[in-house]
Order: sequence, then C-alpha cells, then structure tokens
Amino acid sequence: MQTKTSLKWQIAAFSVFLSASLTAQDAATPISPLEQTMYNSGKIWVVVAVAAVILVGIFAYLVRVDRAVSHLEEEMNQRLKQS
Amino acid sequence: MRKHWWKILSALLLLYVVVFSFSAPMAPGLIGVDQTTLSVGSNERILVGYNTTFDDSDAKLQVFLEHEGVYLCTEVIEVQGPDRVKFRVDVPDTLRMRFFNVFANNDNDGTSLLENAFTVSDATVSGQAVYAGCKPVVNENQHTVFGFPFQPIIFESIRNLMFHVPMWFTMFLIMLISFVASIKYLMNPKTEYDLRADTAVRVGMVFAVLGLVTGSVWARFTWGAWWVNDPQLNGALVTFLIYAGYLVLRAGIEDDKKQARVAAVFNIFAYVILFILLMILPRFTEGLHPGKGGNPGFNSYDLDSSLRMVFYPAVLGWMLLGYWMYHLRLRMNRIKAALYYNEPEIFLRNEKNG
Repeated sequence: MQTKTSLKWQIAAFSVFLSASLTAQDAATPISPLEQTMYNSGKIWVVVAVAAVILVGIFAYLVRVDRAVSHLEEEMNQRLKQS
Repeated sequence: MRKHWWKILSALLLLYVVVFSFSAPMAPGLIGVDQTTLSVGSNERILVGYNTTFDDSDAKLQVFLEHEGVYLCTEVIEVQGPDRVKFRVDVPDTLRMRFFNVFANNDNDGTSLLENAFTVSDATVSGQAVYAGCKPVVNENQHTVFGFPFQPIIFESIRNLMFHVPMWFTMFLIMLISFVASIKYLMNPKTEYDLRADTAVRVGMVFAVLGLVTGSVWARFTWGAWWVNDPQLNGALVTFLIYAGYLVLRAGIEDDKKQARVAAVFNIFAYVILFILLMILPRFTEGLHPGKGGNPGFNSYDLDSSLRMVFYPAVLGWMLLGYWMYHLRLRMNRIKAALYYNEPEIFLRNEKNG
C-alpha cells in the first residue's frame, strides 16, 4: 500500500538525520569553515538556515500531497474508463 | 471568499512575520574583550560591542568594571570605531572577588553588560576590600534604539524565536485536533473522526520534524552540538517516536473498525504523554531551554515588547498555516475514503458542511 512505503521513507529519513546528529557531536571543538560562516554577522546565517529548513519541509509536504492527489486522479480515470 | 478569510489572514500574518523578523535591528550589546585576564596595576584592554555607537562623541561613553555592586572606573583612551573602544583600568591589589563584569554606557545605547568579562589572577581576595570606586550612571534596559534584545551567544539568532518555537505550538494544536477526534470516535464510531485523527497526526509530525531539525540547527551554533541532553529535546524525540508508533500501529491492523478503535485509544494516551513530556516534566529538571526549573511559558522567555510584536502574530500565522495544511489533506482523504471504501456519504456530508 501507498501508506506503508511512505512510512518506510519517513523512518529512513529520520534515522539518517538522527545518526548524523549523533556522530557530528564529537567534532564540535575546533572552529570549522561552516562554523566560521555561521558565526559571521552575528549568527544571522543560523536564522537563514532555519527559515530554509522550514521552507524545504513545507515543499516536501506539498510534494507528498501532490503525489497522493495524482493517485486519486489515476483511480478516478480507471473507474471512468470501466463504466 | 468569506469561507477563506483565515487562509488570507495566515498568509498576511506570515508575510508580516518574515519581513519584520528579518528587518528589525538588534539592540546594542557587548560581545567581548581582547584579553580576558587583568593583573594588578594598570591594564589596557579593548572592548568590542555590537550595533553600538561608541564613536558618537556627544553620547558620553563610559566603560566601567563591576562586581558585587562595587564599581571600578576606567579611562577611555581611544575609540577605534563604533564597536571598538580601548580603555585603561587600574586594578587594586586587594579585591572582593576575582571576576569582573564590564558595563558600557552611553546616551544612545543605554547600558550594556558583559558578564564575567575579566579574571584577575594575582590579586588578594578579601570580603572587606574597599577601593576608591566611582558611581557611574546605570540606565539598564533603556535602549533609545528600537531592536530585538541582545543576548550573549544567541546574538542575531534570537530571530529564530519566530520560526522554531511556533513549530511546536502548531504541533500542539494539530495533535489536539487529533486527540479530540479520537475521543469523538470512541463515543461515536464514524469514519470521519478516524480520518481526522489520522490526518492530523501525519500533519502534526511534519511540524514535529521541522521543530526538531530547526532546533538542531539552532543548537549547533549556540549550544555547540546538533543534539544535547536537554529534557525538552529528549521529550520531543520520544514524542515523535510515539506518534511514529501510532502510524506503525495503524499500518499493522488489517480490520478497519478494529484499526480505528485501537488507534484512537493509543492516540489519547499519546497526547497525554506529549503534554507530560513537553509541558510538565521540563519544569522540574535542569536544561538549556529557557525557563527550566520553573515556568517554560512566555514570561521566562525574556520576551520583551519588540519580540512580542512579532512572536504572537507568528504563532497565530503558523497555526493557521498548519490548520490549512491539515484541512487540505483531510478533504483529500475524504475523497479517497469515498472512492476506496465506498463510503460516499463521508464526502457528501462534509462537502455540504465545508
């Protein structure tokens, strides 16, 4: 079923995020180029990153709704052909 | 059009929030000093500010050191720019404690504080030490410039308050919708209520993920790690896993009626646990989020009027957007239920009610 595959993707994506979070913890002490960028201009880039994450999240949601609507359309088309 | 006013409101609120939270300036503050140690005798140090106007000669800049309410005056030697000033301080050989806070005061910026800026290593410590201090003017929190409050370490990222925090508020709202739908289902087992509960959990989880990821990014550059051992973080993760469990449970039961009933019971417990983990337990434990060991609500967030002007509209705007996302998905699921489960009455009844 469609719900089962999407659930599998959700869990996979989340575990990637979680493992990335846990392994990145150790490398925190020296200042990396990423940190340097983020700390520039009073950490304003952190806000940009957070806003971007939300935008990506909303678009990902839109893509999922889009796909679900496409499935419904297919189903409708098939039924109309049959009748 | 009348039916859609709240969607327009949501768009307008979020437009206002994005524009305001990126364009409002930061209130002035102090970032640091060039060297954090002082020795007995004469010292010359540089103080670095943020959004300050040290170079305005009419604003009467004063820099002074303080601990335990006793002040030590300094002499401003050279103003190197709007945010850099060089000063000299004479440290006596007997002090009340080894740490000093630094204050900078001028008429434009008000008084800014840098806590524990200096350590004096070679002084004798005596509780009765008296030094020829001075009485500077301290006008705390009297910024004449409008701006978001300056906080050490957080700096500009205080603007995240309008993006990260409302994610959790929205999640709470949508999970509440789900909770109410589950209770209604148990009292009156209609497919509509089950659809509402299921859809709401899925949309609520989108906001939970957004809250976790945005929080993780913010934590990395303020607390130093993507994930820290904070009761709110661990609680949020457990909550996420519980709701993931809800979806797994649904997928695991074949029979529709049984699936809806078991899921509704699970969902009621899930909301109660969510409430305990995120709203109650963090009050009793130590953590990095604001307001720990006390009230995690509004007052302890150091919300000042400039933040409130954007934060409340942000919460409302994101909640309306979240409800819109949920509502869209619910309407779609009603059509799906009508098509797949041959229950056209779900679609027809709600089509009439809107």
